[in-house]
Amino acid sequence: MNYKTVLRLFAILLVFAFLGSAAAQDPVQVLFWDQVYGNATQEAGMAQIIANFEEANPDIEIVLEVMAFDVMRDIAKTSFEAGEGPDIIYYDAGPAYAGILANAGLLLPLDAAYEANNWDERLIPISREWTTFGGHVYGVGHELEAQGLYWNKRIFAEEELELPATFADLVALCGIFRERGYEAPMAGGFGDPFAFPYVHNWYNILANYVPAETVAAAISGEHPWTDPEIVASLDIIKDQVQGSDCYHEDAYALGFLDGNNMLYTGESPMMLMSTWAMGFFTDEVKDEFGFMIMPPIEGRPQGMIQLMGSAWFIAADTEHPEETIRFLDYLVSADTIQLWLDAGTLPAQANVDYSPYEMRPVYRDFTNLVATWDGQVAYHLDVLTPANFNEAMWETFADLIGDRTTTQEVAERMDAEMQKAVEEGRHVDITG
Amino acid sequence: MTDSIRHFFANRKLRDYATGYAFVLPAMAMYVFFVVYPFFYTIYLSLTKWDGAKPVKEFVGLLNYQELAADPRLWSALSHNLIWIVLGTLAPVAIGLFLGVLLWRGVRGMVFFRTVYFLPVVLAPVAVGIIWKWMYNPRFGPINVTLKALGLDFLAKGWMGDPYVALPALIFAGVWGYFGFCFVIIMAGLQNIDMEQIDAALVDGANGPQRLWYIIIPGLRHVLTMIIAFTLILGVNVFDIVWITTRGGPGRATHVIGTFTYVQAFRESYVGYGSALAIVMGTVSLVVSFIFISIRERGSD
Repeated sequence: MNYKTVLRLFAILLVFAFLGSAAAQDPVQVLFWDQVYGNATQEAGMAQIIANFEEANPDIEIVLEVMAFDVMRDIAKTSFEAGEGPDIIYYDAGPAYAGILANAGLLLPLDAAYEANNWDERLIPISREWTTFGGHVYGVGHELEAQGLYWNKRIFAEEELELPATFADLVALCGIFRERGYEAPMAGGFGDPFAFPYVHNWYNILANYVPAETVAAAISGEHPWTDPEIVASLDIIKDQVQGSDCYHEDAYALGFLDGNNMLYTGESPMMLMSTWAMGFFTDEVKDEFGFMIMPPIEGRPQGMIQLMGSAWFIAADTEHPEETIRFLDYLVSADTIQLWLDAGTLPAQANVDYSPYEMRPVYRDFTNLVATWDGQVAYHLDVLTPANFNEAMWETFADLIGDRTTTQEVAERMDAEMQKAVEEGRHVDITG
Repeated sequence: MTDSIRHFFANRKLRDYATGYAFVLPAMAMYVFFVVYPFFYTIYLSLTKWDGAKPVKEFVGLLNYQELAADPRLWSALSHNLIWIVLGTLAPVAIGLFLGVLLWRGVRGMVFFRTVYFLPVVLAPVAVGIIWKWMYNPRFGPINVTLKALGLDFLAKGWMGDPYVALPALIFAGVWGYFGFCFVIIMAGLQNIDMEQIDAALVDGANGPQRLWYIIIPGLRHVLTMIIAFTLILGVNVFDIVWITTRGGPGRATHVIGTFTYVQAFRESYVGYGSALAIVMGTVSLVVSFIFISIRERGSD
């Protein structure tokens, strides 16, 4: 072997050594699709969580891509199907969204990860319930939420009014506020597509009027939506919105954010909304608010709707399942709780003592409520119901606001779409 | 083989053909890839039941088309398209023609007017939708604020939330975003009008409307045919401005076939059904254009 051969061999060895060390040093990149943040605090919170995780796990780099949830819904299917999706995605749970991906084999089953990381103990039950399809669990839930009534503490004190003890008191309170010059006693804008605040208010009425097991059976396609009790709950929401003095006369044309702003600016003393609206209570919002579950409808058991914002799911074709699950586990660890609270969201972690954490008083009301609630736990429909049912529900509710349909017709349309979904296997069974 | 190649390069006609095809080929490849292939693939999808994610598509033949024929939502959407086609074609063409004739002979500030009228055309339809969503805001939109300031509170409405007013309101926004295009094209067409005919008509005592009807409009027939055909197709394919403002709501009040197709394919995950809708939409575009051009051609004979 002459010296030229030796030099060539040495050069080749150097190249391989360089490549090997470069590969060894490069952290694994985990692509994370998240939903767009409502404010700078939320954005900073996620950035801090990622920074903390990467510091503790230098072999992993989280590549964050943020998009609006409706954009995500549009591109998730095609992206995952084409193998161009992320490793982990924060996506809507339920059969209309993640269920479609799971049933197509595009999401990674997390049964083993749940067991290995003790998630069933650490997370609230709906984290598993809402992300289970075909007998396997696919997601980890986040953003524990409830639906209820926000009330402006300053206004109630100035007006010397008591909080409503019953639903009838709530409606009467609207009349009192209107007499005292409040153009919209209840903040709300139903003009956005889906008329969703109006629909969500109906979920509240449903939760307090119809037993949870009946609603669960209807969601599972085992009970008709034309049940007279369900139709009666639709009559109540129609009367409350259109027949009472609660909302602005143009509520049907106002956007959702415009409607909410009436609460934040003090124009409206009350708002029926999910707790995720707490994320909008930035430093610019000066008034303090209280939060309570909607007061009970006379003679009916009170129900608290518990829901998750969305859930984290992992792509079935991820090249880094171990690293991605490690990141997912960190997202639901105790290390992140204060950061989530700062961002105005409550993590879906179970049995958390929130007393040492800093939070706005309105969050404290909510955490206390969750910790002490021993009443009926009710359902937020559109995350659990199929896509065709949801579209029909939103469409017919908008017609209901415009007096172009009746509550009986709304119920019949929902029932027809649920039956169609059951025939096509697009529903979930939550009764089991 | 070598002789054939030699013969090919020796033959000038063949060389010219080859050169032509070589220039056309890249564009043709793009056209096939982005238009022809998706068109035929959409036809295939329209014959299946598929949710957009499952690896297997269930072949169902013409079932989607049968369901479409009996679907009241389709007919409702098509009726909205028809309204859009009529109002959304007549209005911008009429406005463009009126402004074109008004400014044709030259006025001070001509460049300013042309720029101002054309500005909305430069905006993306999404931007037009966002602008008009704010304009129509019932609480602080300029339209209602102005109406109330003028004591016309009874005219102030929740424009986008009122199912009886939302569609005309959207069409108005669409016309605002498009009339400038008609104006500019008509202005270009007016440059070719024979001024001697106008002068002769003036001498004969023809008034403005008579000159417009008997000289100007016939002189613009090819330009008007092009604009109207183009606008008709836009009226069938309208999507952006509706989706960004009302998403087809309230209820189904502003659903057009484009938004209905989108909801079926991407929101309800009925990709096969949505594909059938897309084929229907394309067919309607072709039929509408064909009918108009046939009538136009027959009229010019």
